[in-house]
Amino acid sequence: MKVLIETSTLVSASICWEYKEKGKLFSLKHRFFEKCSGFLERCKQKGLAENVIITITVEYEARNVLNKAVKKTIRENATPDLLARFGLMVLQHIVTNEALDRLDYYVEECSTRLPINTRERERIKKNEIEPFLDQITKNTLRYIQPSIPSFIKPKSLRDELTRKMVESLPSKGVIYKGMPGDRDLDIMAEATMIYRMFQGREKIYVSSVDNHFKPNPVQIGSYLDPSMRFTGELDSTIRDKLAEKFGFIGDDPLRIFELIKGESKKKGFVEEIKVKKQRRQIQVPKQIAETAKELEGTTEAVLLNEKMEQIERIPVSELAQKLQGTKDVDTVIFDGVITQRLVDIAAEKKVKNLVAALLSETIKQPLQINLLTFAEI
Amino acid sequence: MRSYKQELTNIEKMLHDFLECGMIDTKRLSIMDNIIEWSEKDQIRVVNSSYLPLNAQTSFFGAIRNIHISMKSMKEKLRLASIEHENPTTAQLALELMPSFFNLVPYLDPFFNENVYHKKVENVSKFSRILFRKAKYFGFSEDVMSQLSAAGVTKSQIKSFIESFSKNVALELDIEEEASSSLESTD
Repeated sequence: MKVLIETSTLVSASICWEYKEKGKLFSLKHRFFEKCSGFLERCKQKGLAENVIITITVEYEARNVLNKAVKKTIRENATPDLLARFGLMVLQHIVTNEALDRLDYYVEECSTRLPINTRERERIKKNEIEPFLDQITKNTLRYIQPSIPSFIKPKSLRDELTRKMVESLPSKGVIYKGMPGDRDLDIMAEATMIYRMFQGREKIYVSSVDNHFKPNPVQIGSYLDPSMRFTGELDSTIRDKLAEKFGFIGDDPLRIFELIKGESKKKGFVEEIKVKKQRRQIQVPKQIAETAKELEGTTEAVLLNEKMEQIERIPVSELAQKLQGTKDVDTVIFDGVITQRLVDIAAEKKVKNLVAALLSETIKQPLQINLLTFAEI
Repeated sequence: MRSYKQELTNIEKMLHDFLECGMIDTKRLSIMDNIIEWSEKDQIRVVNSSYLPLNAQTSFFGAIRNIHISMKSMKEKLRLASIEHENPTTAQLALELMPSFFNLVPYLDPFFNENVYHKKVENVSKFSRILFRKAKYFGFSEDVMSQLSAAGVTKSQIKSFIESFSKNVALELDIEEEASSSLESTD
């Protein structure tokens, strides 16, 4: 199984900026951050980074999206006041770099890259995907909009009528967002190429939060209409037709992770980890063992001092940065993978114990730090 | 004429000297003040350069700000290292960071001395980003809170930025329907 990360997933996973001021938490977090970032992090933790693909097109597009959004934001917030303008530039500088740090991390540490022949991609896009989608999206709906006479005013009555009308429809039609733009067509062509590269031996998923790729939620009323609502149903007609014709299956990151877990179990991946877990058992202070147990599955990290007192509890994604700026850390426990970069920082900060869910196989074992996995304690 | 290249060369020489004699002479650290001061003023100069396209403005601002923050932090770390007798390591790290400063010189000196800016501003962004990452990795960076308060960024500015950025990300991704309120802010 291979998962191609689509631009919307990569961008959503990259936007999270948090800071504390007088105990209050300020956060700039994409609505889909948790699921997109969680997906990439978990794949990495489970040792599946080699199955996650971020192509250069997607990486470039994600950078482009961030860049354009920041520029538009600067324009919209422009002011003649020089100091306020300076503040705005500082703010965009911080937010942009924070997002790019995450994006670089996903590209470098959570995924792999496959070569893409751009000529072949253009050919597939122009000659295969575009005409196919052009044809099948002709008779699709973006939402169901029942026409209720305007003299019926009360909202409850309008809602009731809407419900009745939708229920009585013989068929709701095919719900799809409409013809995708050039950027999405490029990614669809790349997914097709990857599917063909593996000659159908691998299932190819496209992780996306964009309705051009995944099953579309059935919605009543225009999205501009304040009374619009979702029925809870998903229409996967177009997604399925694309999968049948081109081999790639677009879906939500959470759903794909569930599928990966299912496949891993079938292939004995989980059993393999359990066997490794039994290799050695090491006695550690009670606080370390308890914290490790508490952190499992949270993608969080806890920093302890020499007295085994908690200094900080933070998301794993912020660990490297936080560790660099924190003094007197004795032990770091986190629900993630011990990487060489983290070991280097820990060595510099004179940390004695690094305890995590998994340990990367390429680590050079340092003399002054104990590297332990949850399974070993 | 001010020359970032000349100042950086002087700093690099000073760091080499520190490494050779195995200790940091804090009296010589004032050599870094010129760059710290210039880069502080040059940030405002970029913000005030309304003739520049926004793309060039953000690239040059990012570059000069990264130089300012990294250099300021480097000076402070070297000073502390001298007190804590961790001399060679910090000086070595500082020396390793120097090529990343030099990468930016061919773009910055012509811009700030002759108002000539290189059309390939993407190179400025690229090298600026390399400097940022390396400096952050070596610990020559400043925390967000200090940066915001030093720049006088108000809460209303942050709020307005967040709202606007939220809308623009959704528009750029073309997922405005899926993410009608795509960013969350908590306070």
